[in-house]
Amino acid sequence: MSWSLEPDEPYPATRTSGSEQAPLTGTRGGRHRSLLRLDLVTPCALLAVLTLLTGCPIAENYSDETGPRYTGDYRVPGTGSTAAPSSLTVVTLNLSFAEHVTEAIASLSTAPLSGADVIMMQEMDAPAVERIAQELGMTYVYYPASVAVDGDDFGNAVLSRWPITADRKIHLPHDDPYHQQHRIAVVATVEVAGTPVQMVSAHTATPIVGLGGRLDQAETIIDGIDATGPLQIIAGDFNTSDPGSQGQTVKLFSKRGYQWASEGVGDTVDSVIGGLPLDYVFSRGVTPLERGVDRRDAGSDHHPVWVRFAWPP
Amino acid sequence: MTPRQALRALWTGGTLLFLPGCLSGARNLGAATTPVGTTDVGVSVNAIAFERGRERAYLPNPELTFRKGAGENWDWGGRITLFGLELGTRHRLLESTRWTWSVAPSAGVWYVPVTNNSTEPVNLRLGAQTLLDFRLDPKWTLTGGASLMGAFAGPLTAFQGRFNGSHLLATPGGSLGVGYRLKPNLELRAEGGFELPIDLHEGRRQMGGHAGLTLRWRRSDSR
Repeated sequence: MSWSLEPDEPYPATRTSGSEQAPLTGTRGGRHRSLLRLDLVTPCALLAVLTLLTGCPIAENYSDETGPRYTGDYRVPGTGSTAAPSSLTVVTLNLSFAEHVTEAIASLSTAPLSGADVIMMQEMDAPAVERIAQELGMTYVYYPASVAVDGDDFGNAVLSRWPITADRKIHLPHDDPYHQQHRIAVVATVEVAGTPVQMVSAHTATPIVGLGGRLDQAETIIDGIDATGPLQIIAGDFNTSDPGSQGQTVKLFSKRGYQWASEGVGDTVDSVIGGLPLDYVFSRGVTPLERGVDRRDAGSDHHPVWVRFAWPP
Repeated sequence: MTPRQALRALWTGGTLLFLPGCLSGARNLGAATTPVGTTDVGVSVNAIAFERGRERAYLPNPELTFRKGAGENWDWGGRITLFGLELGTRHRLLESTRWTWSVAPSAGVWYVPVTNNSTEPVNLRLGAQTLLDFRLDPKWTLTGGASLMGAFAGPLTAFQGRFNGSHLLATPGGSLGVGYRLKPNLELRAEGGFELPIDLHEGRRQMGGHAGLTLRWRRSDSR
């Protein structure tokens, strides 16, 4: 075995021909001008990037533990049933900044969504929730989480044909890293013919918050209603557009004893990159009978997802 | 392919390309410093394993590397990924016929638009690696490495002094590589390694790792 390596040259440097040498374009003066240009371009680019980065507006969040809170009851007295229903239908809809409320009402007023017992909504503002509750004759609770880019509130609502006897919001961890926008879940105790069901309208962060962060958010919701009763339905937008996120989200709920009640409904959002499965209904203690996605226009890029549960549970 | 399929492929591809940079602990280096008057340029194709959600994920991660001889016992250089750059020096501490021992401090900055458990849009890494070469023969070199990196991962609002959601990590790691000289000025290096990220607030994260190949070409600097 021979050892020809020089300590300084673990493998020998080769003397290159002119064509292999660093390209020297132009004269010394030309190169000097290039360097000068580079000297100017680099700080300017850095300045532009820093301006861009520091220009991110910080979201206005509602960090209060109990509010703001909006409620209303538009159920027509005397028309509400107190007898046990034969099934319980739950709908979830992200109304995309509540821009097209009329279309949403039209969609929620026709089969298969009409007559839903409970509607969980996301990306809502207070006037939109109130109008929908009024038009559909429901009671509601709404908590905004933050102020959206359009200046309106941005939050979650639970609307119900059955009485809402208690409600609260759950603060979710991991604000988004660009604007620090905060997310919440809204919990409403709905008394269905005298039986309390925990209904949660959830909206986790977009994929710019990593999957780990979004799973933490989902787990915070589960922990938040863990000891509140045997019947629980968590529905909403879980933003599972990135590869692998659906599987891990479903696995988390499954490990905690929840059934993926809306399993098999397919994509729930039309986007420029095609259909995406973002909206879910998970349940514990109640058995899903039917489920589906209403793909007609509902005033949003999201389609309403509905599940009919057996009742009594 | 429909436009939607193309956009979906772009989304997935973008995720693959944008995400890995700062997750890669691969240096693909030996201990021997680049001689003065020469520059090494390398192309690396690594596969990285990292914590994603609550499971481990694997992604390809191409990188460009370069080293430039700066002195008798040291060089400088770095690696470039799509949205990141790591620069550092390498200092030869001991040399014998068969052995070379070096230490290579480095600092890196990455922008990661899609965050992960221990990454955020702004990622800074600072640390050092120690490398030990054992030359089997003129063509084959074995390299063992140990590293300790400190990392800051923060939201974009860190530039506004708001650090909510940021992570501080200490990441010890190790690597084992083998270099084979194809030609006097061309080396093929295979390297595998692991990192054990520890979030200073949240504790141990899942182990990450890398394995890959680097083709490194040495050329004389222009006179």
